[in-house]
Amino acid sequence: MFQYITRRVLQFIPVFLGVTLLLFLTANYLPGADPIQLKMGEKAIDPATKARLLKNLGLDRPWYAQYVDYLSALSPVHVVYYDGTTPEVDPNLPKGALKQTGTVALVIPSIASEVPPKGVATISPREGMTYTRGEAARWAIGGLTLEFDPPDLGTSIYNGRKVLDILGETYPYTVKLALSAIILEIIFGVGAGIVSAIKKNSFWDVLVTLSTSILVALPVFWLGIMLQYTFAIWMKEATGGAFYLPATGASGEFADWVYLILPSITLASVSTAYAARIMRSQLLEVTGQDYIRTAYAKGLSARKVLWGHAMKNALIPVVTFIGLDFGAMLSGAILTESVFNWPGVGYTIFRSIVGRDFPIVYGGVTIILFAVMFMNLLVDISYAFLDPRIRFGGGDN
Amino acid sequence: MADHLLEVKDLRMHFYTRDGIVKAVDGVTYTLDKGETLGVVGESGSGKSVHALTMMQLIPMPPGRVVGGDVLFKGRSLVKMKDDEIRKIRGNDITMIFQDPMTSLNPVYRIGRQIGEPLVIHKGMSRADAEKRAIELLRLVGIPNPEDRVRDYPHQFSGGMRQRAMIAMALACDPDILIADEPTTALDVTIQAQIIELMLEIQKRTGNAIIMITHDLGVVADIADRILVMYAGRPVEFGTTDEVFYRPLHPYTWGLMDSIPAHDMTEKSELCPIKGQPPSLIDVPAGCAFSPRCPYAKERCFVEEPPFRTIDGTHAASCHFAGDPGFTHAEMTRAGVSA
Amino acid sequence: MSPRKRSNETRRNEEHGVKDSRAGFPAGPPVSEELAHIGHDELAGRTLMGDALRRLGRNKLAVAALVWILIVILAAITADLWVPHFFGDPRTINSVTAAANRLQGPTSHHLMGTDELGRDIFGRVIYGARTSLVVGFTAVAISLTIGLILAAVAGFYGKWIDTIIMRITDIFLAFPYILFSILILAIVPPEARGIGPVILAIGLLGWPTFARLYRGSVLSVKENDYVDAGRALGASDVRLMFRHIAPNAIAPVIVYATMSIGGAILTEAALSFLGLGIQPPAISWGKMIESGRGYLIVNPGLVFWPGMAILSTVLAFTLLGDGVRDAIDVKMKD
Repeated sequence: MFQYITRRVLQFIPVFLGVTLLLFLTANYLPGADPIQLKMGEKAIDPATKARLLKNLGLDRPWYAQYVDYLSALSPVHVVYYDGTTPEVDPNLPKGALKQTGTVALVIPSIASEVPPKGVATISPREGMTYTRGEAARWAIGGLTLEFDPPDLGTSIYNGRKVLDILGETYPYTVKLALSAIILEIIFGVGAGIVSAIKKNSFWDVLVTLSTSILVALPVFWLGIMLQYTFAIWMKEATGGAFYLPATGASGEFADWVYLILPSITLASVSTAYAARIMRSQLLEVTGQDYIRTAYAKGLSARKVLWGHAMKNALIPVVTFIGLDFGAMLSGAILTESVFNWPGVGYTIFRSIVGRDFPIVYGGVTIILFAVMFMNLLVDISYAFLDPRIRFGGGDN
Repeated sequence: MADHLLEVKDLRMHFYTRDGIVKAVDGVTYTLDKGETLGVVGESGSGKSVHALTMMQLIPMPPGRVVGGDVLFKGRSLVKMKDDEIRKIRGNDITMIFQDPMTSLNPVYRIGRQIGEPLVIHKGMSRADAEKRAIELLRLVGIPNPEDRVRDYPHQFSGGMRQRAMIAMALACDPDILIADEPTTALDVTIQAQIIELMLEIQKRTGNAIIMITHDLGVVADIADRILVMYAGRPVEFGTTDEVFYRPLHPYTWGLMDSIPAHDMTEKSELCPIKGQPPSLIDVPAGCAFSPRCPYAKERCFVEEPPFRTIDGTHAASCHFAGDPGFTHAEMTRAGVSA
Repeated sequence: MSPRKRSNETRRNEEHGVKDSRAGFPAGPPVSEELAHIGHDELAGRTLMGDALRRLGRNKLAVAALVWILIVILAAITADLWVPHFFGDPRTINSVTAAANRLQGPTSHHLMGTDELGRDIFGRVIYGARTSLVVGFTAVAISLTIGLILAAVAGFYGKWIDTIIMRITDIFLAFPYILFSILILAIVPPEARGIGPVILAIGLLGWPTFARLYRGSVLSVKENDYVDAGRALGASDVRLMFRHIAPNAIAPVIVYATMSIGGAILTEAALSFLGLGIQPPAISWGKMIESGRGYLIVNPGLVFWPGMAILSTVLAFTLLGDGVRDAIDVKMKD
């Protein structure tokens, strides 16, 4: 199992590098992309200012150096070599900045474009972009220092706040929405899939098959709006205006979970359909396996065969799907959150697209990607715990 | 009549599919006595496996349906039993092992639990006791270190070991009949002999009857007391092993024998496979099902279905000419060679 | 042997018997002179296709889906000929009637009512179909082309080229599709947004699944005996690739492409809804929903009808894809 996990983690590295490279290239080199405009907002600037900004932002450097800079900004850990001397924190300097007598000789990961100023390790290689390293924690062994910082996703064009902080505030909302959606998905998706597989070709099976086909073809944002219309406008009397509707504004007089109902149904809709389909097809496939025949031949009842022998096998891919899906939901459902003005990561990105606050869009997409990739890795690893064939060696399958 | 342990009488089971009616089992008849070994031989699609699954009620109905005949186990009809009755038989009085040991064990449960399961169901043992008994069973079927291996998962066993585990599972409740459906086909040749030997050894000890289903006449030659040859869902020939081997009555049986590589190849014998393909079971030829491939077929064979009739005491065959003087394997082969 | 296996076997026997399948296809055209001249395998190919079509024809849902798609295509193509005539031009604002006609419910003249500028919703839905279909077909065509070329190159040259191409494919697959298109279109300046960037974003991001599917399919077909037979007969690699492997490996790709058109239509609608896709005055179902949202209380038809148009069209492509899959009997995962 250890071997399996190690291999998965190692396989994750090139994918991570590839995805971040793609993200970096898209934002900086896509036709029409102007890095200065994207970083600083849409201001008409004269060529001289532009050249100065390019240099200060390090944007005149070759693409690979910029890519490493980008990774360096994202990296929460840096290895810094302070020329054989141990830096100490100077209480007179801003929080986290340190007094240092040597020279910064090496920072990993990064390709230093210029040697940071001697004396103080508050590294500000670029004009106007002072940042302090080692804010979160610092471990020093001789001149070699491990410095921990929150990833730097840049700052909002409009209010100058750190993108990471902005996204951090909105993330709990996204988590709350994703959790409730995933609960719906497990109850209704897995449930419907089981019913439909057990009662194959029955009325219920046809109903499940048809409704999952429709759900998969539904535009989620439309479903969200139609739910709003149905429950907040059409059934206004019956629901007492309990459902949040952007046009009328949140009344705030109901318990929190009431406002969660419609967004989570909307977010769960497509996933529930997929979960039901996977559950159904897995269960049908498993019930056709030889070991199910063996179980019947032992004299087990149909119910015991189903719940004892078929279900555990059939659930493994379903659990995997739900895990991956949870990653996707955690990473912000842009459409659902936009429809319900749900103040999560997705809605923040949507508003920033409209407002052209590109650092937030870019930072948000980056965060989402990391969440998705991390969840994929986690699901891969959890596979080892679910499937004894992987847990006890014997290759990938 | 009720003396026989198992009596299969004109069993007919058809599948009703969109493409037509598949006559998978069509008039199978034989008897099996206590402690006896019966070999059921036929090509794939001859209904040899399906007939066994039918009497265990392991064929999904629909699309399958028993359209005629009966199977009596100790005088009780298996095919008419209700679900909870047949369940008490399955895995207890009649057990099965299957062709592919790789896929016949549940990959997510430990071997011990799977072997012990019949004991939990039928003998009311606790799971812990059943697992202890599983260790003994594993030792019985020749698995080294059964105390450790009982906690293994199927994928940690080799193919031969898995088939041993399947046998252990089948023996758990000390059954009257063990049905082995091509138990060695998926295994290495060297392992094949070991598995067969193991089954015989255990049979000697416990006195269970065996129904050995195989496509290989050679496998059953040494071990079976009786042999049933099947073709296109129908019985072709039934008799003691000596009868079938030394006085085969049906041209299909002759064909099967000619296609066995002789153990002693110094003897100048030619290997001649049966020409043609087995028929589609949806569209079985009129008359004798074997007639299109039979080198001795006469006009009558294409029109009239030969009854499965007793020719000589315990020896039965379904050929119009079976038992006719001169219609023997040796005579006809000689005639064929000289012609 | 399981009954399922058996019925498959008998069906396969049927398929291989050329005579049988023709006998079961009486509605088809009689075998023409030119068919008699071409090689046996080609004839078998035709009848296999005929077999698939016959099975597709038996699938009522798939036929209904196909009919619906054809209706939508026909309506979109001929829109100029009849929509303005019956319902007024839904693309322009008639300042005289605009005020009087705003936000009407369904009437005999405006089947689905009118929008906030007095334009006929039904007409706009018809014109919206143009956008959706153009985006759906061209984006999938782009994905298909890129995917097939890359897969063919990977499969043909093998070794390290294959490895590199498939690694890149993995990276693109790890990138959530909608997120990537949002990022790309967010970079595009608002004035440059429109149908072109949307098609490119969807088309350029959709190729990895095609590449992976086709490569996998090519690899499995390569293992088949008839390819070995062709090689033994001295067929060149290129001939093998295009005559024997490519046609047999394409089946799962066709199925996926059919479903992808629906997917591309959904993505376009979502992007337009977010304001990243089609820009007014061009008409798109997603944009109609977005702008109709503000009038939900007065006239919910503004949101309802374009949504129904998306739903029915996407559903039709999915069902057709399902039908094609069942008809050509290719194994695909859900």
